[in-house]
Amino acid sequence: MLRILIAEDSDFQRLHLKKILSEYGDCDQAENGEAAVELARRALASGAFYDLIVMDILMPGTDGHAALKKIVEMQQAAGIGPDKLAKVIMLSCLSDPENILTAQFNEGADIYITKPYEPEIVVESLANLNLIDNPADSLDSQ
Amino acid sequence: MKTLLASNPNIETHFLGVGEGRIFRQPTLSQTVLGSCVSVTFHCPRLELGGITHALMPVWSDYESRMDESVRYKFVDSGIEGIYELFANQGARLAEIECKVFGGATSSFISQLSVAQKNVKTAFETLTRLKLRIAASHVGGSQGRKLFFFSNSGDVFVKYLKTMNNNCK
Repeated sequence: MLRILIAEDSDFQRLHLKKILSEYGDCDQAENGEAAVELARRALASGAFYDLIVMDILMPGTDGHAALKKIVEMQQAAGIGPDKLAKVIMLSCLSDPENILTAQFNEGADIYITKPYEPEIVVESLANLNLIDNPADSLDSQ
Repeated sequence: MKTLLASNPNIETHFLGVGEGRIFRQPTLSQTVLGSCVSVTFHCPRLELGGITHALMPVWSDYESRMDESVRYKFVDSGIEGIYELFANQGARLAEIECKVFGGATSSFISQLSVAQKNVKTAFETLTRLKLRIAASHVGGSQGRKLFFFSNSGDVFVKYLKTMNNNCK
């Protein structure tokens, strides 16, 4: 089972994500950026860090950009190499080029999904991050 | 994967080359390999219509003085415009087209303003200008990608390559 952190301020969106992701792993939930950073800190201290972080951007207080930056820095400070960092899906209603580019080129998000979204695109993303069976593997071997 | 192929027993296959753009009216599994290049996929669920580009340079007007079909899909912006026109000609409405962006891998020693980043930036800017919905993107990083695009469902599955692979296929 995957270890998953969901950072999302909307109760509905958090529940929706948990429903999709629970099939694949245990989900911790944070209502804002500070809570996400704190959960990440505890997970790092416990020695069992997250496999996947799903991060909203627009949240009260510390937003998703800042929270993700801190979480990546924490992992790096703990000596986790670039290949071993938790995978990150940024999930936001913001669809402008600046937010999407910043998340993926400057902050370490692997995939950016724009709300509203269908559950299938989240599952497709898990496969593309090799967190679950990736259909591309068997297609490539044929 | 067997399920995906089993549910598409008559699916066609197509290898998308560099500088190519296509739409598919029949279910087609299209494959392409990206390094710094960018692919944009298009899908209209109502028409089960799919389209994909594989561009290696960002803006056509920076390189070419005239536009024709031989160069259109080499560039990110004109390629997106081309597929959008083909979708519109097939009856796809703007609001029902869903796009995804892939590629733009960058070697770590290349500067911030690499072609890869310009390609990705141009894709987002062009899609935004045309008011096309960006459903998801999987861009950047230092590894090349092999893409498998199902035209009838819009699903895209990505396999990372071991190297950056600047030699797109």
